[in-house]
Amino acid sequence: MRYLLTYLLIFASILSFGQGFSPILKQYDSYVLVKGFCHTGTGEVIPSSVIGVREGKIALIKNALTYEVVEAEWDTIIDISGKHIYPGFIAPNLTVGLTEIDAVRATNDFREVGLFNPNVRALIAFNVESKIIGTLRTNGVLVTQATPRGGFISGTSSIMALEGWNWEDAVYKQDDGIHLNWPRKYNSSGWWAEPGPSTKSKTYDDHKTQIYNFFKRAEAYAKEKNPDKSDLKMEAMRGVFSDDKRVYFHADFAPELNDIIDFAREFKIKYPVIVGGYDAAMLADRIKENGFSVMIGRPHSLPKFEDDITFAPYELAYKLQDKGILFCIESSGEMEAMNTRNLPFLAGTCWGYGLSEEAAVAAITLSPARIMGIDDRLGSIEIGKDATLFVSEGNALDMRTNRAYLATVKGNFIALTSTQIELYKRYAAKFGLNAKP
Amino acid sequence: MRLLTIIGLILMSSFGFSQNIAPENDTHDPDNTIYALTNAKVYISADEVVEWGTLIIQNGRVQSVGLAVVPPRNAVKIDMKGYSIYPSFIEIYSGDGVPVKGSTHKGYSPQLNTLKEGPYYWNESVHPEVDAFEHFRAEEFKSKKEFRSQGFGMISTHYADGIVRGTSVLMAIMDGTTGDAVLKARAASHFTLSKGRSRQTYPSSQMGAIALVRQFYYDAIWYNNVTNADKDNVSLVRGLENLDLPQIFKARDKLEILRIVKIAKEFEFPVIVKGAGDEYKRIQNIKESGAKLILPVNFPEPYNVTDPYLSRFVNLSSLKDWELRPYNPYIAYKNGIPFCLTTSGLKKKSDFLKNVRKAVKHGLPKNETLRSLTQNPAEFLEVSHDIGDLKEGKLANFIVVKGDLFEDGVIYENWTKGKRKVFKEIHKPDLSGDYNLNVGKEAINLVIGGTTSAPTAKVRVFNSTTDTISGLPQADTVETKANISISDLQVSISFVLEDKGLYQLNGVYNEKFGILDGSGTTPNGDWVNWSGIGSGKKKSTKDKKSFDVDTLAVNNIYYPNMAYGFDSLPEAQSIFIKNATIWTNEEQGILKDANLLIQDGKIKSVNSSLLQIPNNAVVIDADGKHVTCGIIDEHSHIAISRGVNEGGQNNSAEVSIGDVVRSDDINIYRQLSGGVTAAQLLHGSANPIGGQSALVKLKWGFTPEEMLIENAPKFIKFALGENVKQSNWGSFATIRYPQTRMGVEQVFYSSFIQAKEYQKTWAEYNALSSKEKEATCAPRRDLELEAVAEILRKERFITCHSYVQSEINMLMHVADSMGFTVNTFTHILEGYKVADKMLEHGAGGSTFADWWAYKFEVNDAIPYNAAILHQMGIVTAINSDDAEMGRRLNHEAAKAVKYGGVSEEDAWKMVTLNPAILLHLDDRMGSIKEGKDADIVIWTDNPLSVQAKVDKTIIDGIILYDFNRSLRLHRRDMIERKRIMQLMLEEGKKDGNTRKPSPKEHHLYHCDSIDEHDNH
Repeated sequence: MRYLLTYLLIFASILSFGQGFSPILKQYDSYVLVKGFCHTGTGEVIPSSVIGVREGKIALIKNALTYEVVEAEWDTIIDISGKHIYPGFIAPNLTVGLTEIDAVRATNDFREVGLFNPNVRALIAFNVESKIIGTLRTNGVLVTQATPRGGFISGTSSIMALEGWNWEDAVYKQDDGIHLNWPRKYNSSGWWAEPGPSTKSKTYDDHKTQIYNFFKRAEAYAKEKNPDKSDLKMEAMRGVFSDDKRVYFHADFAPELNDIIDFAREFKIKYPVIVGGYDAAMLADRIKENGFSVMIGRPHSLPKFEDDITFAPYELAYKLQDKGILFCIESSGEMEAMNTRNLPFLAGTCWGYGLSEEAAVAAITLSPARIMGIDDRLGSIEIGKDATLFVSEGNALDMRTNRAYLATVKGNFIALTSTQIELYKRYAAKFGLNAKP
Repeated sequence: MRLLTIIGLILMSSFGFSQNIAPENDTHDPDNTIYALTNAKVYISADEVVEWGTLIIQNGRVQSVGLAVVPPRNAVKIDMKGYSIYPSFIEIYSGDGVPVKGSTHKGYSPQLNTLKEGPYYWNESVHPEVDAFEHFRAEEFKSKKEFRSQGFGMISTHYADGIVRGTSVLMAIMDGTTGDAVLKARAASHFTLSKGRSRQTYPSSQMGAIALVRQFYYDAIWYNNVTNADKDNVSLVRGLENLDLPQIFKARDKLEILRIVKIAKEFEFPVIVKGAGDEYKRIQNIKESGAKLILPVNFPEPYNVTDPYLSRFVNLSSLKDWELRPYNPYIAYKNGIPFCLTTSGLKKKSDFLKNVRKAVKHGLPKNETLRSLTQNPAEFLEVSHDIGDLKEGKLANFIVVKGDLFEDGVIYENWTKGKRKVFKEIHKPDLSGDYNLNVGKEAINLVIGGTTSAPTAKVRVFNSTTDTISGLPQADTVETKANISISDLQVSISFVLEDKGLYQLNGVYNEKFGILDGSGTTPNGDWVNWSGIGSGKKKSTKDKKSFDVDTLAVNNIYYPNMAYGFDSLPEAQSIFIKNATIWTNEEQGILKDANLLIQDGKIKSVNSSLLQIPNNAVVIDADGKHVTCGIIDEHSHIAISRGVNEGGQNNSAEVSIGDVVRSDDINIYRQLSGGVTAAQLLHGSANPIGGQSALVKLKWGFTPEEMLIENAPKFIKFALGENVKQSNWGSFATIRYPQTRMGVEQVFYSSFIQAKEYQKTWAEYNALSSKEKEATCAPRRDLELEAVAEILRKERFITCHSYVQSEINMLMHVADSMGFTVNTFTHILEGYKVADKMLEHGAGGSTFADWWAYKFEVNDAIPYNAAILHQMGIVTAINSDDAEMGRRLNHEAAKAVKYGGVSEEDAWKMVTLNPAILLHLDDRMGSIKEGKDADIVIWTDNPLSVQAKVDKTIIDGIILYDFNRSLRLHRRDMIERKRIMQLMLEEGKKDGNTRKPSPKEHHLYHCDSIDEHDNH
């Protein structure tokens, strides 16, 4: 009876906040989610679980078959039997929050002028009120890495919860890394139907030198804690050499990846990450030996070479797993902001092409958290981590069964609605249809 | 006046008169010297050779030729012993010497109308009135020297810009005035399917170019029939007149040839197509088309494939193309297609012979090679009476060659219209050898080497010395380089002897005895006589390179000739599938443990218990698998050549995707791997009234014509909103009407009202008796209005790109008032707001599963759209509009389950039966039912599952995709790549010329792809 009561209570509260995006005020100091099929993100499952949350952190994980919940220990108990519970999905390398409508320039805030912009920070442009955000949360995507675009160094990303009154609320990890768009070594000439000869890019060596020089300056600058004159760009690079600031190398093809590995070795980059990495499996040993991790480019992509096997992008995840490389899935590309809600289905596709189900879950939960250095707080259902959780009616990696039941960010229940759901309800009502959001 | 004179001259000369019309500024020169070239091997034609022949020419023509020809006494005799005479080549396809003007349009704003002043056609790329003889500039003919040295005597050159280009001029490549050189002022009429330098917005696509050519011909024919009017439009008059000439079209690949032939057939003219060199890929279809060909010999250089990572940028189709292009002329010959060879496309004309020889090495017989360069171009240009061989009365156009022209022969002379051009002297004596000279008292050994044109020399003297240790005498040879120059028989030599000084000798060579003698000065300045006897010629011992012909590789052609191409086309089979879970899309719903029989490309039976399985049937045990009909993509832009949008005008109803289906798009195969069997290839959404659709089956390996669904219903693309008003095209695109949704409505009304009037005019004309018709001029045929009128007659259905409810509503009102129904709203992202109105109107919807936020007008798009439309009773499909998404439409259908709770069976119908209904194809496709097309997919799982993979895709009973076979083909391709790359590296080593690998990037189209594709 008490179960039922809480269930109604929660549901009512979700609905009452359902009209907007406002973060829901903290309802409980502690609660426990029981009997859900738990995907921990670490590769484990607990088919019937008990997950306790206290002060926003995961305080208890037990098997419901063997553990009796002590009702008195919790403010409320929520029965999620038959449902699946996941760590909130993490969507790296995206412009979510930095854009609203692709074609409307005024809404685009991700590409700054200039080639080297490490000091440009996605954080402060992050729009917590973006209408797109609501549509991501309802599919389980609760965290993103807001990332600038353009130039050689596009800027500095930050890891944001998709929840909060403002960016200060939402930020999970401020300025986590810089994004380096490695130049293409080979350029094609001609046009699409009649490609001309491809030459080694005439500018490649020059561009590479520019990047080397920039890093050399930054490396030297970082050695002096109190420089006479402050240089914003150099200051922004300091963390790469003296702290845990990541360098995200955006590149796909083996010739560039090889150069990137050499580059990272020269500058002793502590946390080098390849973003894209279409050819990463070919260089698996070097990548691994040199401590790289890989964010594999959107698996729902066409093969980049005509001769490649039709499902090459689907099975890249499996190939990297096979080689023991730390990888996660990223989904940048065309219409990336709105497409972010399909992140779980990207993982689902990789599951269809070789990954185990739990490895596919890890590829959008614990692995991105580890790669971005936030696994102390995010990415898995483990004691002490933030209760940033997603409960789906069914398997969340399959389109048919991914249905939001509840979601929490840092322990707080969040509104599971969007302008799309509101429109749906409005017009379903107009036509007398039964809305099933 | 000058023009008239030239034409007059040409006419005279081509009639064989030799009288001069023009006044002479000298005493009269009859110019009738007779030349007799004797003892030559004369290739009179490709089929006739005389070993010891004599060729007699006078007045620029062949007077007689043969073995038993006796030169007249007054002939200038030239002994050609050891040389061969071939008719010189005719370049049939060139633009050299005819400079092309750029556009006069300034700035970035679109140019909608022609800027060409005068009574011409409305489109700048159509200019049949341009005659190359008026635009030819001798000083611009920079390749003249190269042409002559490569053996050419005639060239047909034209104004190489635009679609309908005008006429070429056929002229001799010789010195002197252009007027004397011209053989035929209007030799051929030239066309392409690319716009060229015109900056007028129309046409922006290949299908637009095709429509433009067709409309132009209809206009010209109509104009010709108009009575009681002065014919003042020069383009229309000349366009029709030019039809009497040979028609030469330039194609940029093998598929364009088939497109061009279609046009030629429509207007019933024979066509000559200048190919791109990849005809071998579809040679059978080209042969059947009846087109004659002009083939380039610009065979690709090998890629540098040393780096394994880098070589991936060269795909298998490029590798195979590299291997097979040199066989292209041979393959054309083998198939009995008449063809010429051209220098067109070569970076350096001087590579022509080298590449022709390559073609010979790759199987092209030598006499056919000669024919393709002489008789065939003459025949194609209808000038065989004048040129093409060396028979009596023909122009004296020939080359003198030492050795075999098509192996390693060297061209010594090139005669054009009886005028001799010497590159090398045929009788230059060969002095090379060893000579013992006596120069005064000195005995000197002289060695002459090098070539006749660049001789070298060295001298040797023998000094007697005494060995300093032993004290014995010994002979010491001292060798010194000498300077030598030879002019005919006169030889000058100078050299310095150590301890003595400078010797300077001049002498004369006695050819008969091989003796040199003359006088010269010794180091002390005395004049002395000298002489020397040659001690035998030192013949270069260069081994004659073996000349091997190899045609083995012609069996390596895949269909299509690229990755995953078939070695031979698979055929329809009888297939029995058992133990399957069958999604019928019919009343039976999903059948478990069911069977399915496919025969003759059709579904023979579904779960029948009384079954005769044909003996030869392939039996597939589909235990645990799911079987469905194929996915139909209502909205696709794959497999299209050169432009998905004809955005040059707001109404382009005349263009058709059906004209430009591209059968070698890898995305066809990729869609098969996702279970898609049929698709509507749609025009883009750049204008309110777009173009006609192509309904195709994704028959990988087959031709575009074979992909097109037989007797398919006709469709046309309409569009609304931001794309048609060019909202996102940048700030210069503010010229074309419409720029607002208000204007869009008016475009529709205007077009439909015009089409109604058009229909009426034709109806009235068609109602006339045949006698009355004779007395009346038929109305002009307008391809654009014809297509729009078909909509009014309900013979053509609209698929309309649409987002916002206001405009959806508007179009339904337009349709209602015009008496037809909008068949399908595609995208229809705000359909959920006007679902009741759509239902009432009778429109269907084909939507995205979850796209939004990419443009302002899709801000209210919701993923629940499909569910609402479906629940409202509207036929609802989910489409891709995207090559990537197209191969996982099963995923997209599954989203209808998530967003709005559509049942799995109904969701599945959204990518199969419902698009079939929307495309009026549900009588043949869209469900598993006896008698329907055997378009079947076998899945590893429930097709809506995120884990489902396609095991097999069958179209018309042909297994076109099979997961395991695909892996095998991939293996085969990897091995094939290695084989060809090995050949490349070997050839690269030989030649030293290689290309850098180039990624071949094909464009992926969406609705709003608006790049200009045809300005190349």
